[in-house]
Amino acid sequence: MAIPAQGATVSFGGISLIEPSLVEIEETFSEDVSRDGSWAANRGSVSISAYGQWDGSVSLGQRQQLVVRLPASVSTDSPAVTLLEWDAIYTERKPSVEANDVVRFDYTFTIADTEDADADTEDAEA
Amino acid sequence: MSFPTPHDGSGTVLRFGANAYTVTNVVVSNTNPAAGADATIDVANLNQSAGEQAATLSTPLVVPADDGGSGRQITFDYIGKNILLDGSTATVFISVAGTALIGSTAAAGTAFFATVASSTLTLATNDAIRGQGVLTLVRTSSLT
Repeated sequence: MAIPAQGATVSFGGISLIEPSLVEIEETFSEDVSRDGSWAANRGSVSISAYGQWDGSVSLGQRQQLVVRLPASVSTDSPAVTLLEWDAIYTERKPSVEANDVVRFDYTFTIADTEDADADTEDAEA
Repeated sequence: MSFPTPHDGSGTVLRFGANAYTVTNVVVSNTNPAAGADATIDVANLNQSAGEQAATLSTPLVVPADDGGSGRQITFDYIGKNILLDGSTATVFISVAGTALIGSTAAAGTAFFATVASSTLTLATNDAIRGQGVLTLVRTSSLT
């Protein structure tokens, strides 16, 4: 059953994106073996196009929670979700300015490795 | 634009470029609202609710009058021996009893361009020299 995309919202570190028009998510499972033998997972990227900018201060290189709230429950896997959330790093901002057009913004986020997140947690605990 | 009755078009001024014409008849026609699609940018976004009209913005630049038809034309008859050169583009201004109908009174039609789509000049025995011009207007959100 087709699900309307209208009403989806995007936020990064709690700051909303104004007038998003397209969200493309590429999630992959990595089978790289880390040094301690654990598995790293959830790699990929999220590309977002918008007509507006962030409703607050957001900087390249920031690592925050990227949240895409869907207008309806989407069963990508199991169980169905209405919220897609990643620990993500803001890696690319590409505004395009073309004659006789509006300014468009493309943002790219890299999904942080769970391995790195664990390492950060361990560092913090240490 | 509306005018109080009675009104019959007397006192109408028509200028095309630097020339003012002694007009006997003017017809302004808007015939193709769909032509405006070329002058809008689709800015539909996810913030909009289902069922809402898709958001659009007017393009920063206007569609040229000779770009294949804006759906807006002025046909006018005049007395005089000037012949309008077809394909020529100039500013157009029409006012009725001092009130602007097309173009701006302040700048005499500045940036409100029209292109001559066709023109005729008739020379007949025992009559004044008469001409007719058909102008295609640029498409903007307002006529004035």
